[in-house]
Amino acid sequence: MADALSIESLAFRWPGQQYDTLSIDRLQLPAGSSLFVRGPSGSGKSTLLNLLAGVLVPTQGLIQVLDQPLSQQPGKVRDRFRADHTGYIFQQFNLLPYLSVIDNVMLPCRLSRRRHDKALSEASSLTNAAADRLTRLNIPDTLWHQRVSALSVGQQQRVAAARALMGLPELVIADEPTSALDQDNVDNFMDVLTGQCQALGSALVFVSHDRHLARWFDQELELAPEAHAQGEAMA
Amino acid sequence: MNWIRLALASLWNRRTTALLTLGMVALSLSLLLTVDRVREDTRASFSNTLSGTDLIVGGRTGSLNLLLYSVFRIGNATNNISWESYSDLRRNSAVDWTVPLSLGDSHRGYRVIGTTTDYFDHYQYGRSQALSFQSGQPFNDVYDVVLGAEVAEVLEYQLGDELVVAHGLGTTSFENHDDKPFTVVGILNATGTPVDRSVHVPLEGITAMHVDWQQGIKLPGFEISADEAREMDLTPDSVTAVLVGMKSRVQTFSFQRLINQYRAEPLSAIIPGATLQELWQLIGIAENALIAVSFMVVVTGLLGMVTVILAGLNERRREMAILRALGARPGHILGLLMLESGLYGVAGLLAGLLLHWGVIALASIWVQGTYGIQLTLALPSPTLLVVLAGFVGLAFLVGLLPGWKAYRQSLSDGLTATT
Repeated sequence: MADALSIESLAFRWPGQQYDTLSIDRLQLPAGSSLFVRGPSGSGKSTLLNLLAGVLVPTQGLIQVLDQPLSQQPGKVRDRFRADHTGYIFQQFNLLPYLSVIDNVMLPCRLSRRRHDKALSEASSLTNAAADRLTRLNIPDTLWHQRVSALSVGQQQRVAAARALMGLPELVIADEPTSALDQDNVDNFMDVLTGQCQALGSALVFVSHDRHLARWFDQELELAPEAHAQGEAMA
Repeated sequence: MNWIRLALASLWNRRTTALLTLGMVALSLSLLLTVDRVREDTRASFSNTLSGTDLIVGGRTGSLNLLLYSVFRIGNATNNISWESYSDLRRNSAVDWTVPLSLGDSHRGYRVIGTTTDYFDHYQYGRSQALSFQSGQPFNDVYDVVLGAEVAEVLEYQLGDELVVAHGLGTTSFENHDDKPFTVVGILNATGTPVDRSVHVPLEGITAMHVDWQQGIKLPGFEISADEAREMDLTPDSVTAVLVGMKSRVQTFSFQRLINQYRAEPLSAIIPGATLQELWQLIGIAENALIAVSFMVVVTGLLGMVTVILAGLNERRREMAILRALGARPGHILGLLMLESGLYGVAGLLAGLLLHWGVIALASIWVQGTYGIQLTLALPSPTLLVVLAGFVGLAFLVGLLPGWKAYRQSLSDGLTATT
């Protein structure tokens, strides 16, 4: 089975900086598996996510996503690849406030033909596919056509997870999505997110500084606090 | 969901700001459109008022003044032409026809024109259109009156009605010729010219009204009835102006020179078209100033629009980051901002057009009544259409500025923008 993610000798340094912001020797994440990335502020977590999403390119080394050498592709291809293969969950404020809940969930399929077609392969319409994701993420149907401002923070994060899983992306990237949630909501969110990623076959890369979340994941990557420290992958 | 729908939804989310910005753009454009329409219609209105007349002759005065008071009923004559001089010029072999005009009286705010039936035969407007009657006929008796279309409609006169002419030109007059009422015998079709707002009576009628007046004052204890006046010699002493048609247009200039050098009394002869050109040159300066101000207002509107978009960018960094996470390229972000700017331009133009037509529709009623200028609900002139197309293009282009800023932001923010 192809790896969802593979990193070789990765280093990233911001222009004008003396040390690498991020350095990872080797990392492999099999398809459908989950990776927990933790580290304190300044350890390069956000930089790593931007690299995996193809928004940044490494100073050296290779990032392969789904066996594609993402870091060696031009920006246009990386953007298209992100639209087609990656779901992204932010820390908070994930949703466009001018769209309804269900329109937010359908948005990735509006911007990617591949995810549009994949969504339609498992449901008769985009609306039904979005409804399936929202149901899986425990969002009651009374909220589907509401404005996102009508939702609690926990509900908004679950809608963001539903959007990230629309069109069956092979990789879901989550950037500290539980940081604004209380403990009950964290457990509930983690159960639902990891469970649905597993059910739908999407690999999950999850960043947090909260080490207690590690138990939901197959692999763990700890990024050192100092900018020039090395990342270390643990099985 | 395509980018246009996204841009529209995003704008709707900021609808208060968006509507105010749209209002600013629409107002600035409607000002430009309205100024241009008033300019075009004023010119058309003036140009259409008189045609087929080769010369206008009046007492010695400025050419513009003579044109304005004789044709457009604006201002007053400073001198008259004696009947002898008028008779002399009428007898000239080069002259085909003449229409004498005697001004100075009014009826409920509408000017009274003393003239002859030649007026109905030779006066032309627009593209050599002759006057025509919607009812009745030209005057035949001393106390007959023919009304312009607007006078009859506004004052609700019909054939056979009687009216009294007032001395002087005010809307309200304390000195009426009420001992010599006139009978409506004809109502002219609408022409869109000052003729519609004129009350036409025979020259003899003007004389009859004033037989018991001297120096503009009714002689006390001296009254001549309408019937007694009818029996008198009613040849006028003078007329205010004369419209002249030449047998050959070639002779126009030499006859004009002859009149301007007339020895018996100081007279002026003008060629209407040439004098109208003088008028355009005179008001052209004011027109250009107004158009320039309107353009500056439009530019200010565009700058205001860019300022509003730029000011809102920081608050929208999260929106851009979400779109980037969903696969939008930096170019998409630039395009989105240009699209938003362009949408303001297109919607502003449509709203500006509607506002302009609304203003014209409302103002036309008052302007027509007050200045006799017919404002029309029409598409902008071809030149202005080109300008408006340029404006829409510019509206998209100025979106490059916020677009470029958002593009740079989206590159530096990546997927980790915070606001």
